[in-house]
Amino acid sequence: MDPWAPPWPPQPRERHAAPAEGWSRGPQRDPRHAPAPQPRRPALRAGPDAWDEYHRPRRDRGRDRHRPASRAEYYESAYANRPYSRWGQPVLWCMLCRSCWAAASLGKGRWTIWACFPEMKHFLPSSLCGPFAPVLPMAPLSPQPPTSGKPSLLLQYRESGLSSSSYELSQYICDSTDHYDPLPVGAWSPVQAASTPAPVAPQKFPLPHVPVCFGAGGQLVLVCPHFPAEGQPAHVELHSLEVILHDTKEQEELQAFPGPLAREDLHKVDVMTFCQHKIATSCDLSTQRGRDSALLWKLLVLLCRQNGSMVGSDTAELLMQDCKRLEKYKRQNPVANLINLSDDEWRAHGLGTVDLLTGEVPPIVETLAQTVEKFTKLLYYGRKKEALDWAMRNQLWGHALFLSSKMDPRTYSWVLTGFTNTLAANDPLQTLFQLMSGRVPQAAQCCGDAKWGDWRPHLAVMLSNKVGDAELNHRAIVTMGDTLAGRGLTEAAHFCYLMANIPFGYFGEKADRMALLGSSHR
Amino acid sequence: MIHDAQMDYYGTRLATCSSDRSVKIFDVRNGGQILIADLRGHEGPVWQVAWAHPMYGNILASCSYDRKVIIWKEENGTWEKTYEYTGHDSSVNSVCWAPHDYGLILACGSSDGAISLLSYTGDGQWEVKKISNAHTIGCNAVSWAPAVVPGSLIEQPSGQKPNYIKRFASGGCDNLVKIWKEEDGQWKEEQKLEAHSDWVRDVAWAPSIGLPTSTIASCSQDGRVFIWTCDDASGNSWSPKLLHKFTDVVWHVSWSITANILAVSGGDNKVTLWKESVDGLWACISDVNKGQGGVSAITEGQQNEQ
Repeated sequence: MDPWAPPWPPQPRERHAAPAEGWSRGPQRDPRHAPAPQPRRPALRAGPDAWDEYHRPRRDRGRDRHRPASRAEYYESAYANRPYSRWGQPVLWCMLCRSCWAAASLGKGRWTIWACFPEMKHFLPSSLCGPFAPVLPMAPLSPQPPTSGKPSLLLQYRESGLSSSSYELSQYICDSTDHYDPLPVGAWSPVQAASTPAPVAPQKFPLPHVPVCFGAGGQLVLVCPHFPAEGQPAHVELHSLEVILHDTKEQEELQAFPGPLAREDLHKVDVMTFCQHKIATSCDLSTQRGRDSALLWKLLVLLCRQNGSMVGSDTAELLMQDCKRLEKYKRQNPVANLINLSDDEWRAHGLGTVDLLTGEVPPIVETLAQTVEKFTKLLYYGRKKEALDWAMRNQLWGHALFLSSKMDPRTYSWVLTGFTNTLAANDPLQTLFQLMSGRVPQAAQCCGDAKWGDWRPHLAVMLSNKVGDAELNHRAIVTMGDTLAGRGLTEAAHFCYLMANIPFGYFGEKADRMALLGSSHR
Repeated sequence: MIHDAQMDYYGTRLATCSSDRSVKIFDVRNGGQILIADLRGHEGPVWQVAWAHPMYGNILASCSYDRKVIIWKEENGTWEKTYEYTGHDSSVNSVCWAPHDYGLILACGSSDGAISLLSYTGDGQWEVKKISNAHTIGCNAVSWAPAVVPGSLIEQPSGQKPNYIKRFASGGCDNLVKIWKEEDGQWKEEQKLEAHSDWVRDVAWAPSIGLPTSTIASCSQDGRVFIWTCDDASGNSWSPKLLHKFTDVVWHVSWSITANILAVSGGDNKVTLWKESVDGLWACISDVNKGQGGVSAITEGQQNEQ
C-alpha cells in the first residue's frame, strides 16, 4: 500500500458521506488521480527543490522518531504520523499559514473547525492560534456559493502568484471544483469557539527558529530552538563575539593594540613598543614610501619619549638617522658661472680649464699661500674687482666675501651668488642659504624627484635652523609638503605638514591638506 | 517557544517573549540570570520585543498574535503596562523603536498589511499614525534608519542642527522591501525594493558611523539574503547584492552595533556571521556553534506551553 495514501478509517467515511470524497482529497494524492510526477510530493513545501533535497536523503534513514530539527524535516515527519486528531477526524493543512493544521468534524448538522498547532499531539480549541475562524483554504470546506461571482480566495492566491505554495493551491482548486459536491451553504457553518471573527493570520513563526541579535559589549544573544511541548526547556545563550571571532585577523590586531592613548592608563613604553612592532611588520623598508611611513611611526616614538615636546633639531636628528648614505653634492664648475672680467688671467690661471690654445689643461700649481699672495698683490694696486675675481676662482671665499662685504652691496651679492653657485643645486647647504636669504628654497619645489635625491636632509636643515621670519619657515615647509604630495609621496608630505603644524581638516574640503580618518569632526 | 530575545542598551537586561504569551525580563549582569519580571497581558504568542532608548526610562514594547502592541514601563522598580494599542485587525508581527533623536516613536507592522507609528506626546498620551496597505497580505518586519546624515563623518560640520529625515524599512508578504519617508508630517513610500521571490521575513537597517553609504539587509522565505546599498545621500538608487542563497527559509538578520557584521539565522537553525571584505565581497566569518563561545545561558523554567 502506498504509504502516502490516507488510511482513513471507514467510520468517518460512513458518517460524513458527501465530504468523504473531499476528505480523501487531503494533503495526499488520491490514488484515483493520475499520480503526480513525484508521488511522495506533499502538499506543503518550501519550494520544489528544497523539499526534494531534504526529502530524498532522508528516505534512507527510515522514519525514526527523532525531533525534527528543521522545517523540512518537520513536515516529513508529520507525514509519517498520520494526520488525524485524537478524536479520529481527518485533518487538513491550512494553506494560508502553511503549517497550521485543522480538523473538522460534523456533528449535529454543523461543522466544527478547530484550528491547531504544529505539534499534532493534541487538539484543542486553540487559543494559541488566536481567535480562530474558518481556516479558509481547506478545499472541501471552502464554500463556493454558486451565486458568488468573486473568485475564491484560493484562486486569488493562485493567480497573484505571490506564494510559493501557489502550485499546491492550484491543485486544490482543480480538485475542489471537479470532484466536490459542495454542501448547500446553509447546511453548515463553522462554529467558532471565540466570539470575535477575525481574519485568519498566519503565524509569524510556526516552527522552532533561532532568534539572534547583537547585544551591548560585544555579545551575541541566541535562542536555542526548542520544542516546549516535548518538555525541552527554553535556553537563551549569550555568546561573546570576542571568543567567536578570536581567530580572525582583525580580532588579533585589535587585541594587539595597546588601547586608547590616554596618558594615565597607558604607559608610554607600551606605545613605543607597539610603534616599533608596526615598523617591523608593516612597513616595507625597501621602498621610499615604506621608509617614509616608518618615519611617521618613529616620529610617534620620539614624541612619546620626549613627552610631546619637540624642537626642530630633534626632528632633524630623526630625519638624518637613516641618511647613512652621505651624498656627494657635486659641485658645479665655477668657471662657467663667473662673469669674465679679465680674460687673460682667466685663461692662464683658471682651475682646470682647458687652454684654448693648446688644448691642454694647465696643471694646478697654485697653493693657498701663492693664491693669497697674488690676491694681496692685486689689492696693492687697488684692483679690487680683479682680486675678487681671482679669489673666487681660486676658492678663496673668505677673502672674497670679506672684501666684497665692505664694498658696495651689489658686489657683495655678486660674490655671494658666485659662492652659492659653487654648491650643487640639491645641496642642503644651498637650501639653508636660500632660506636664510629670505627665499623659499628651490628644494621645496624640486624635492621628491629621483634626480634631486633624498628630501630628508633638506627638511632637516630647514627645521634646525629656523630663521626669524616664521611665516617664511612655514611657507617653505608647506611648499615642500605640497610638492611631495604632488609626486605621490604622501607619507613624506604628511610628515612635512605635521612639522608645519597644519591642523587636521575635513576630507570633503579641497583646501584642507590632511584629514584624520575616524575622528569626530563635531 | 521563545520567539525573541533582546538585550537592552547597556547589556544588563535581557527581555524574552514566548508563545506562552508572557514577556520575561532577566538581569544578566556578570553572567547571572535573575528573573526580574514576568509580564502577562497578551492573549496570543508574543512575536517580538524591543527596548526603547534608556533616556526615556526603562521601556519595553511587545507585539503579539492577539493584534495588540503593549508598551511596558518600569516605575519604582516594578514593571507595568503603560499603553496598549489595539488598532490592528490582525497579528502584529514586528515592533521597532525609532532612533532616540526623533523622540519616542514605535513602528508596528502587522499581518493586516498596515504599519502604525505610535509617538509619545507626553503625559501618558500616544499619537497614532497609520499607513494602511503598506504591504498586501501582511507586513513581517520593520526597521528604522539610523539618525545619522550620510556622509557626515567626512564632511565639515555646518554648525547647524542636522536636518534629519525620518526613514524606516519594512518587509512584507508581497515579497517587497519598502522604504518609507516622512514628509511634512505624512509618511510616504519612498522606494520599493524588489528582489525576493517569496515573503520577506526580516529587514534590518545597518547602524551608521557617518559614511556616505546606507545599507539594508533583507531575508526571505525563498532562502535568499540580500544586502541593499545606496551610495547617494538622497536615497534614490538602491542596488541589491545577494549575500547567499540558503537552502531553507531565513528567519532573522541582525547587524552588529558597528554594522560591519551581519548575523543570519535560518531554517536549519544555524546562525552564521558575515562580513564584507575590502573588495566588496561578503564572506562567512563564523558558524556560531552552540556551546562554542557561550559565556552564559539562561534557562526558562518549564513552561506549561500548549
